[in-house]
Amino acid sequence: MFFLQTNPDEISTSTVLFIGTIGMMVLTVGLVLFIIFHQRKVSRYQRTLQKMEEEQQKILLNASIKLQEEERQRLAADLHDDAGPLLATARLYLNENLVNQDKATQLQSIFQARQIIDDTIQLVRNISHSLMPPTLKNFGLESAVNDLFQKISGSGSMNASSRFHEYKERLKAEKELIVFRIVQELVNNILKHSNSSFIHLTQNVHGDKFYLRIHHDGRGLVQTDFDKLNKSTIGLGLKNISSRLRVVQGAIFFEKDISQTYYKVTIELPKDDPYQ
Amino acid sequence: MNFFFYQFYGLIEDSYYLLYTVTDYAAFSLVLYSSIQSRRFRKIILFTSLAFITFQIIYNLTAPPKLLDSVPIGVETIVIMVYIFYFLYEQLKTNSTLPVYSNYSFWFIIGILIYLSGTFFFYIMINNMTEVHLRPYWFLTYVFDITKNIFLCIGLLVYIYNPKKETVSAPRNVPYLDLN
Repeated sequence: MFFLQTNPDEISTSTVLFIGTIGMMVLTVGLVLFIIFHQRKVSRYQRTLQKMEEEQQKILLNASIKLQEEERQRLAADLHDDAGPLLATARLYLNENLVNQDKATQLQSIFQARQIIDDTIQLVRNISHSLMPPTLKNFGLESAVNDLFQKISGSGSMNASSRFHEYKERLKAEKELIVFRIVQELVNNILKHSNSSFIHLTQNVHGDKFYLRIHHDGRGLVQTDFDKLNKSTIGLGLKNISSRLRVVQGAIFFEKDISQTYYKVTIELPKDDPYQ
Repeated sequence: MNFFFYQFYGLIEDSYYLLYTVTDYAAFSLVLYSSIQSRRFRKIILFTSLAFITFQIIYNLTAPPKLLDSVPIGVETIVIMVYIFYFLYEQLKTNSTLPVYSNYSFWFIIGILIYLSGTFFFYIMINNMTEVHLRPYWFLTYVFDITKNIFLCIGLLVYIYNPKKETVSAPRNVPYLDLN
């Protein structure tokens, strides 16, 4: 109606104004709707990721608890099956001593009891060493790892060697223990599953990162296998590695050498702050 | 006497337009400056604002008087829209799990965007329209102005009832369960 009352120039101005304003409004509303819907989509995706992360945490936590229970059971079995009977036998010998008045028999039973107590001491020491290797506690990660590799090599089952390139500044004791447990777990896995003929560990430092790399020539894992096993309910040892690495804010990478001959497992963790 | 009066009146009118556009720009750019996270873009806002104010002063001193300072308004609208697009781009980039409309800045900025896009064509074409022709369209500016104010009020309500920004929770570590 308004357009009919005005001249053509004004009509064209009005048309431009009308169409322009409507166009701008459509664009604005479209943009706002796009932002809202896109953001909702992103937030839905984030929530799914968060849920998956929580599930993963739950699996890791369960694995850690299970592992702790297994360790407790092993300790209980060691104490009950080995230390218990030994101490009971020593007690029997000492009881015998009280009943028997013969000097020679008494000396013999005391000697037997002492032997058994010595065995028990050795047993308890072994259990204690399996809990906290004394080499690690007294001489650090380098010595403990070298010791472990020498033992493997000494057994003759596999050629094992290790080399620390730069380890003048030791990691904190608790970090060393975690790294050592990870190395133990990896080496155990390699011994059990890889069927390899050699295993070699190297250590170095680059920037503010500490690196350990294990090479072996047997059957191994690549990163996707590790991630898959980590998300599944099997692979307790690998989950334990993941949970330990989380504690030290480290990362682990499983890969195959470019030559496709060796498997490489690299552990990366932040170096300790010397001023802390 | 009349000549001096009109001169004086013209000066006041010019100053009014200058002040109106500059105040409008300052208020909008301040909201966007405080909402945009990027430091680099904030610096760009500061430099652009200086350039815009200089341009506005030069324009008002040199351009022949018209009904409204369409050119500075057009430039202002385009510049503010660029800021708004950057803000929205930042919102798209964030990985927040909270909805975008729980952020009070979003409401403020959408209000400004609607106002600017609704009045853009009217303000840049105003000098080409007759006064009779202007009247039926003038109310449009009020509609968009009111819409903007409603959005600002919603933003204020969101701010009052939900002033805290989203905090990133620390990742939950698996407890250290070693037997030692």
